[in-house]
Amino acid sequence: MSDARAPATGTVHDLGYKRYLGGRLAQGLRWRVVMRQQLTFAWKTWWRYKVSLIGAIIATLVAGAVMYAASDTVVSMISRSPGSMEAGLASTLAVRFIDGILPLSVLWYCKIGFVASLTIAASVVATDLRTGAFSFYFARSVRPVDYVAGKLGGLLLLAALLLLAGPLLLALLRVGLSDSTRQVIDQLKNLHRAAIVGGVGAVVYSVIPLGFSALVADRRWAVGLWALYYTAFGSMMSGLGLVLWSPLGALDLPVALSRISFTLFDVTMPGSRGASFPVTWAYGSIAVHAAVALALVTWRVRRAALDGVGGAS
Amino acid sequence: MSARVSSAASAVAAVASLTWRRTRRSRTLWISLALTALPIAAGLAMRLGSGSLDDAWSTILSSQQVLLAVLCPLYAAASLGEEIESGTMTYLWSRPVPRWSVAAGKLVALTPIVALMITASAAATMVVAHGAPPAASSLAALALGAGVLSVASTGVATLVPRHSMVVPMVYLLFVDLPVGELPMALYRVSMTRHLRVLADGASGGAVEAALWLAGLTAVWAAIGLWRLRDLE
Amino acid sequence: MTAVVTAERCSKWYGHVLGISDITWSLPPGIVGLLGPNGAGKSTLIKLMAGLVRPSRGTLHVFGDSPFRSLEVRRRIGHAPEHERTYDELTALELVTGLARLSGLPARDARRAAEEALEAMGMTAAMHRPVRGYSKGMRQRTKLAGAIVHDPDFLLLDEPLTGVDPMARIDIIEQVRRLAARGKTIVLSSHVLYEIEALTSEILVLYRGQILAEGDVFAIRNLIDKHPHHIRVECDRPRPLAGLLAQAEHVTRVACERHAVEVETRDPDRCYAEIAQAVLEEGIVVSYLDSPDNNLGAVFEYLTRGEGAAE
Repeated sequence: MSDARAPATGTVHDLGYKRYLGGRLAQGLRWRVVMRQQLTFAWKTWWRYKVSLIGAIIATLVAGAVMYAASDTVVSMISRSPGSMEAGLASTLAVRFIDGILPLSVLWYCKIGFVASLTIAASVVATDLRTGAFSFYFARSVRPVDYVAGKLGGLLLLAALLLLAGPLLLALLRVGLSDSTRQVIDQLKNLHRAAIVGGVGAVVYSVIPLGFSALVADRRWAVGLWALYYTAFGSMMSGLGLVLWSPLGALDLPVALSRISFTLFDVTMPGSRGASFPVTWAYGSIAVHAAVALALVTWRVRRAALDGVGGAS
Repeated sequence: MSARVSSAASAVAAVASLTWRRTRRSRTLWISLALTALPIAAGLAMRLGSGSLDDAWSTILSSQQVLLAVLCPLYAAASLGEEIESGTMTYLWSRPVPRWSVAAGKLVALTPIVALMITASAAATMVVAHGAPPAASSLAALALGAGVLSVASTGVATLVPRHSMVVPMVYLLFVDLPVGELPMALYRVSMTRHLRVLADGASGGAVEAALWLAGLTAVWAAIGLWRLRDLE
Repeated sequence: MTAVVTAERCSKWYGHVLGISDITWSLPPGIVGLLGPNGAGKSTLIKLMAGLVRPSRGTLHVFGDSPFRSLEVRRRIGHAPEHERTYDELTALELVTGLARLSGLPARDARRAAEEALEAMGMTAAMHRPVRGYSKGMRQRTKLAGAIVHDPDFLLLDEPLTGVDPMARIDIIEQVRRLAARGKTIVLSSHVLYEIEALTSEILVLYRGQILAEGDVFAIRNLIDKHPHHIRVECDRPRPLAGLLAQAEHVTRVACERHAVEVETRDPDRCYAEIAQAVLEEGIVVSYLDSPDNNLGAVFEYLTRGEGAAE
């Protein structure tokens, strides 16, 4: 029985929420969380990424099988570049079909990379803007730079798996199919060439579509604009390059990439679409595209962080 | 004032009206208009070159094929899939209208937009490039192409409503267009190839192309109708 | 009384996810509150009744026919979905007019019907503005206007009170009452139990895709034997009252405070009678009497905790 004169006292025992007191990831490493989330998202359904990965595996297997079958066949379809021919090397160093397979296969990896860019990259920022995910990110101690680095890291990794792993494997296979030690040494050079082509390809199919995803806040339009730019605008620029000024063709991203690939592997494809411009234009075009895309993403994400955006609806 | 079950025609008209109002007010229309104007700039460059009339039309046709392969999924297919994904389709499907009328209404509203953009773009590019518009039959073939590819895109979209834009786009760009370039009999399943035959205005093969186009459109329409009946 | 909805061994699953599991049920005319925790199958049942999805197994009929197949049945149904996505580019008037036309109203009548429905939902002032700029509450009202615009006999309202401010809630509840008074059958789901309670005592409790309880909330409460009823009596002399009640075999616990007695009983009717008798005999002055768990919240909690379902 309580004493009526005593002042009323009480205690509340809050057994519910307790503040997390464990370790925390350093600020500089938080981009990794965003990257991991991007990788998980891409991996979740078949249509987003796995189908492209299967496509890349099939392309690698087919190219590898053709490479193996053609290991002793000289094919006249591919010739050395005109400069080399003038140097009088053509008779002794006739390019065999087997050496054209890797640069040729880049065209297929481009197609696969483009499909993957439509499903995983071209809608990233637009979707986050639409769903109000930025308020979720920036309510926590995630900075715009962490977001951009995380998304970019994840997409680069995914694109590299499609565009870098296959060419590298094919380059290794080509080393294995060499007929002599001298050829092995020669073919080892192709490893870094394949790495360059794959790396540049990964940038084309991750950074640039990410830029398009920051262009408009509508997911459908972000993807549509990227597709239109890549296909329609690209082919138009290639066409214009043929009739007006060849470097315009470097604005056609797959053409620029195949120009880099053919130059690195020192082959000329008969009838390759509008790829007669100097390779520096190809590198320059891709670098400018990537820089503009990155600037666009950074601007959009910074603005979203400052505005404290929610969903569009 | 009492509600009754709508006739199919009035349901199609109502959906078309809603779709048209939405499209008119979105930025979609202006962005795509700007994009379809791009070939006109290319036409200017062609004028500086020294190609024949046939060469110019052939180049323009190639770019219009690609534009069609992107714009049809972007308008027709994505419009349907986006509504399924976002849940707004429940407003339409819970009404006393057959499901196909919803897809038909969207096509009725959106196909003319794509057709108009494509034909205007092709005609303007040709005028800029060569000083004369293309034949009316060629433009009609392009307009027909907008309808055919919109139906096909919608059919593909009903198979994968969650990726209603990307999958039809990939199908048209990476399956239909390349198959049309094949030198073997397989090219007959390519709709863009038949459209090209019709738009080229060549007398040979036009009837066959038209028949194949009708058949392929019917197949995709049937797939779309079958899927729409059961989509949830 | 003819049932509006009849479900016969009806199941619905989405791939491996179970929505509704083998329910057999019939819905009489009137207002019914659909309750259940998240993932219980409320929205699936509403979609089945609206004809948006069809049963994976068994049947579900509305007005005697399948709502998925029959356009005539769907003409008599009004459905306001749970999500708040609408056609943002349109004004509320355009949206509701379009829905009225799709529901079979002639074009000349559709606009007038839409204006009336929006007016009924208190949206007259805002109906010419695009939905894009609407608040959550305004979106809910617009959805409800779309559901009633064609004067349906059967209304399905999925979480109609979510996200709306208190004034809007009162308005919506009042509207639902009015519709019910006009003879409409209404099924509405909500997580806000007291709002359902304010509208109806008829409930259907779903849990893991199955019907856990149905009928009058108080009758259901009486069926829950495992949980004794709580009765609280505030009075001037609690001790004699507590002493008397402690002797009753149906009383499982008595707690005495300075000015109140709290009793747990398995037979509330007998307990009330004995309290009354004790008050008269002992001359106790009672200032307040209540049964704190004789409400929907408590019933819902007992049922879904998995402990209290009547066997």
